[in-house]
Amino acid sequence: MTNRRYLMIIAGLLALTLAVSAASIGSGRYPIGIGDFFRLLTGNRGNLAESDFLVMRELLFSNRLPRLLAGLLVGMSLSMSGTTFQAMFRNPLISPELLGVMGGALCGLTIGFMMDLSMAAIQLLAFAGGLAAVAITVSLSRAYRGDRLLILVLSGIITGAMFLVVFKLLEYFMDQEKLIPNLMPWATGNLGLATGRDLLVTLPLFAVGIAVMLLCGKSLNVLSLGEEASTLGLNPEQLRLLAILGATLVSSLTVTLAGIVAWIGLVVPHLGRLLVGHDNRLLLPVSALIGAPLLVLADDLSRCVTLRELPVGITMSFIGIPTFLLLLLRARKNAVLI
Amino acid sequence: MIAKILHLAVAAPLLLSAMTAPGAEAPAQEAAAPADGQKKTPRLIGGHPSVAWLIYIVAPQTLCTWNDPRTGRSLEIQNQFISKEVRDLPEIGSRTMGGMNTESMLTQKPTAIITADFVRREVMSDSLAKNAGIKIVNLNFDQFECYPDGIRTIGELAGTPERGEHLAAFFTEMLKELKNRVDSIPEEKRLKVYYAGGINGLETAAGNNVHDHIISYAGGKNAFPPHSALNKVRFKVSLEQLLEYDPDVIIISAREVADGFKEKPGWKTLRAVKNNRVYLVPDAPVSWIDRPVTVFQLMGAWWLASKLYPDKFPEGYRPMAERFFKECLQVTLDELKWKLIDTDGEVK
Repeated sequence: MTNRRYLMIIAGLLALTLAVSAASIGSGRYPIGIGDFFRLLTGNRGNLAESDFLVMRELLFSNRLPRLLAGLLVGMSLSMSGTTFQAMFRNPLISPELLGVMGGALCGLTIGFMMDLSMAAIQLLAFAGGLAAVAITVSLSRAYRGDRLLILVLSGIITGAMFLVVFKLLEYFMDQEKLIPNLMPWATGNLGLATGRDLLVTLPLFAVGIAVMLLCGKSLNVLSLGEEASTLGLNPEQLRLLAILGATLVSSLTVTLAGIVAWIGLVVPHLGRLLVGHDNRLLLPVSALIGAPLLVLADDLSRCVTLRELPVGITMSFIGIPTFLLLLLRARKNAVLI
Repeated sequence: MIAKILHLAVAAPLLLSAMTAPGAEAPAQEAAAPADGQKKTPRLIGGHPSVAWLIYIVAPQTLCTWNDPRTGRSLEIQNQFISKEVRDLPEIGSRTMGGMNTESMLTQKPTAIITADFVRREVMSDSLAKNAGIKIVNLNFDQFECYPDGIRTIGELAGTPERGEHLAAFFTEMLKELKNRVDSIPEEKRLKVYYAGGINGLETAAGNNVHDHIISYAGGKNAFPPHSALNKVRFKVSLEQLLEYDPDVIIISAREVADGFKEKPGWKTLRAVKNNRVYLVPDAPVSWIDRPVTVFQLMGAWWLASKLYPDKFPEGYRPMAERFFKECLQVTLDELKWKLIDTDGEVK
């Protein structure tokens, strides 16, 4: 791929992200006209009733804007972590869910709600749950000999199943009347959960995770060559650990902002490969720029299509499943693994 | 490929706008202040179906929205008990399950959002609503005794304190009368009641919570004991457990369970079935027991008490039902409507 073509793709995706963001800010069940936007931005309410001005201002700055930022951040992060996991494990079917990250985070959330902790502590527990899940998966995979990749994936499946059982057990003991309504938005994904404070607190951690993944881009290319990596003078174990930490960090953090959003981490890397191929240095930014507008678009559908709000995790699944099927069909037709 | 992305970038906002334009509703018109200085009609939103029904009962003209699609009997039957003005109100979701659409809520220009305290955490739309000048009021309905206070609060918010006070007095009197009639029943004569919930009758509510209130307030004993240690209210039970409990009375919450109930294998051997003491809980306009938990539970408790201890309620439950529906829904129970309510003979 030439530099010029790559830059054109990045510019196109940036334009797409900006366009979707602008449309997202302007869309919603509550109509805010273009003139109203100018009034809100300048603070001059003109002939707008004070109550309407107040409602629109709150809606824009306390709802649509944080949702948009959370959508961009979560979409970007999940797509990048999916890309990292897939490259690292040389398996196009790997996603953060498959390593148990989401299951661990969900258990953390549940325990936090059951213990009646503060929201910040609950989010911290979700993060810790995600990290614990990956730690267990990696430890399990090291305990056995054989095809390391296969064992890792199997370990992830075991860990995910284990956390599912723990969640079911917790669910059995929890006060469903009070906890399930509180927990459900997190379990099904909802960008409306993210507040400006959450975004500010988590942003530096997201930045660290994203930076680690971007820095690992070149090394991921080498890692995806498998055992050849060691002959190139790299320490595959350390690289693997660093990349795992970065990808796990951001995917666990997404749960603290928007609950569990599946599919995006699995599908987006494949879409990215269609555009720029398998070079992870190029693929990571492209995945980020596909995932961010895709999740924002899914959230816009969730909050605009019906009077009630659909969980964004469900909308994303409606988009992700057919997309993945199409990608599989394409792969079959071309007789290549995407 | 690049051209496709650029086309998408241009098309995306247009697509989104086209997608949302038909759905974006114009904000509800605030009632203009009449020239004679009368107050504007408050606009109230319930956070959950339970509160929405309460708002409807106290001040139907102030109810802006329903939450979820109304459950229970068919809409056609429900609509016979509610005024035309509220039948087609928008359903904007409930604060439980994170389903209330903030923008749909704001479009209604509410003056207050009234919620029940079982959703513990403040949701983001709360702070948004507060900053936009909308009151958020949290009410407690853990016990029937809480209803009069809640109703008074809604009356105040609806600008109809007299109506709130009137209904609060009615509920206080109704509860007092119920208590008077069942309190004299000695402990050993209190009947053991099994609440057959769910789609097969094998889901129940443990004692001491909002789902079993109609049993305890009716002077019955829940066959399924309280499980405070587990901090959980709804449980699955097995037929074997049920045979062990062998309740005096079974109450069923779903019509599909009531149909053919007496012929179900295993159940036939239960004392309650043999003694013909299985009842279907009335469900017009909504269930009188739970799902959703509403103020109709009070009528449910009266109904159950009349079934458990008919000697204490020689007049049956119809006179109270007539009064309840008149006071709460402003509906006269003629024979046609009574047939929609009365469930006698529905368990076959």
